[in-house]
Amino acid sequence: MKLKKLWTLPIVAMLITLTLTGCGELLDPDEPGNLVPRTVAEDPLLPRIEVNGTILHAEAFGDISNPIIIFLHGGPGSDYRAFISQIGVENASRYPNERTITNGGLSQLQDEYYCVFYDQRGAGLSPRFDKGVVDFDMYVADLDAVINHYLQKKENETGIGDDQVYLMGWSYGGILSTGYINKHPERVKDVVMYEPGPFSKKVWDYFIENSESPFAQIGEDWLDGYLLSHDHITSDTHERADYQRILGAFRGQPEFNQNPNTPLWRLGAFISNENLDFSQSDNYDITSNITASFQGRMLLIAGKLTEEPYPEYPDMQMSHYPQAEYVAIAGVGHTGLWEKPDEVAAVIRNFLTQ
Amino acid sequence: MKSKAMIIGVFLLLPIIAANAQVMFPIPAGNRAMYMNFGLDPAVITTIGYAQGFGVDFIKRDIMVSAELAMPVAKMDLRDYRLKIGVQTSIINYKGWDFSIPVHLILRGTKNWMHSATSFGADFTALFGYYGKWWFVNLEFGYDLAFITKMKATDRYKKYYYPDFKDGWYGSTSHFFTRGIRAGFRIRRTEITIRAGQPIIDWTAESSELMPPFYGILGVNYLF
Repeated sequence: MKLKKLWTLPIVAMLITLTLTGCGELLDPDEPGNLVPRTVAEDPLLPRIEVNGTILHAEAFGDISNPIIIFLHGGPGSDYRAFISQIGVENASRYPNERTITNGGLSQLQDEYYCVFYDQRGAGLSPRFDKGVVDFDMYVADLDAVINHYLQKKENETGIGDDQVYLMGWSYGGILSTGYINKHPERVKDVVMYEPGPFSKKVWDYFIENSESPFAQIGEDWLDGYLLSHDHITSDTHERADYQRILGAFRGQPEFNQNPNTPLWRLGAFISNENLDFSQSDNYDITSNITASFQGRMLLIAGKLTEEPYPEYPDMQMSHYPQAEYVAIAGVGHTGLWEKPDEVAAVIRNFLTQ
Repeated sequence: MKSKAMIIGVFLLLPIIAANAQVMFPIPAGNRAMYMNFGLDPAVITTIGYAQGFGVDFIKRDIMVSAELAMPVAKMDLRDYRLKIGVQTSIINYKGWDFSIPVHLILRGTKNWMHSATSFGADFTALFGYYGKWWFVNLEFGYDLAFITKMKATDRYKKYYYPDFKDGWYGSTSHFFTRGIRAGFRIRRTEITIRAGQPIIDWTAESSELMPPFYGILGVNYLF
């Protein structure tokens, strides 16, 4: 066999493929906007606020003279898109003027409340931060600054001097809500959470004991796709890491019964893990001050499908609050507030008006 | 167009580089082998391949040319594949101790719920180890890169995540290092081999959290 002939095979294959597929100018995977959306740092058309030394992607809906609810998304690293979207109705565009409805998802509460949504530091369409820069204390400080921003805005625009808000946290947003209340219990009137992450080491241990091992998912389409993607994309830059991370979004935890089509704008990959690292320590507990100092009530909402594998979870979480209630939504799991926002909104209204 | 010309140039040069590169399993000129591997790399895959030894007079070495096809086994999908063609020869060999640098050209494809991708790339590996009569062990330090990748997002990704994703050819979407070990033993014409290690993006990092934590492959070679 002639070696020279053999060596030409890959070159010929490549040239034929390039010709057939029409290789034009090469795109840069790290150029903002190619793989994932630009953040507020790169796109002047996105709504924003400036607080605590950074800009954050944020929007508010409703009459500011009404009580304020601050919505805290999950992740960490995700965004508020699912809060204002609704299955089969609206996948909220990142540009408000391109949306088909203006009260999708839980933003329907705007008829009674002033609803504030923001993407946490480094997450969603808020600007990126490198690994190791953002920590939980910074998230708590950001939330405090967001609350101050809107309370001040309310006073400026209406003359109403309010000093409390409602919080609504989903998943990791529940951890952030609790961490905030533990530090500033006087600033929160009541708190609503949809399937919040664990508040203490004891709850973490219960959660892990009752969750399936990641190895049990070998062979699942999403995991094969995620692993194989490393042959094509490596996560050494923000843009590529954020893009690759979406491959596993809403898929990695079968017990959560998440709808894999739950929309999001961007998953901040470099934020995702390090902001939960603190919760892995043996003395993790973000509730030490709550029982003694928090005067408000807590409502825990969960999907029935998530309740099944974790039956003791709601009681374990609620035990950290002096006044707590529990409501389960039938037929949904961890993404239930996107799948049944009307039902979840009704539960929230009922709780807050009691 | 300049970058495209550069990439084509690199591909034209690679076989020349490869001609000076070398062998992992020393197959003498005129001999051949079929091989099959199974393991995690980066997903659970099976590889089948063919290798043949040649004598090359002007470098006074035997070289081995190989071609292989790898596919995931959990749920076989013809759109997920990795084709490699490579050249290997020994650079330094002294009393069984061997240093070699195998080089492969790689065509990879994948399709998942988010996108389809086709990449042209290469891997370069430095192998240092010892070959006994019936066994061998090597340390490996590798570098894998995709020169260009054609990416097309699915309608699902555009609908639920990012409608303005740019379909097309991307330059340099992937590169990573590997550090690990290879070992094997031979029984008559059959070789049993293992390859295991860690893929890393940042050479100085202990691990790369967004990468699979390790690779591990079990192989069987039949020489004829």
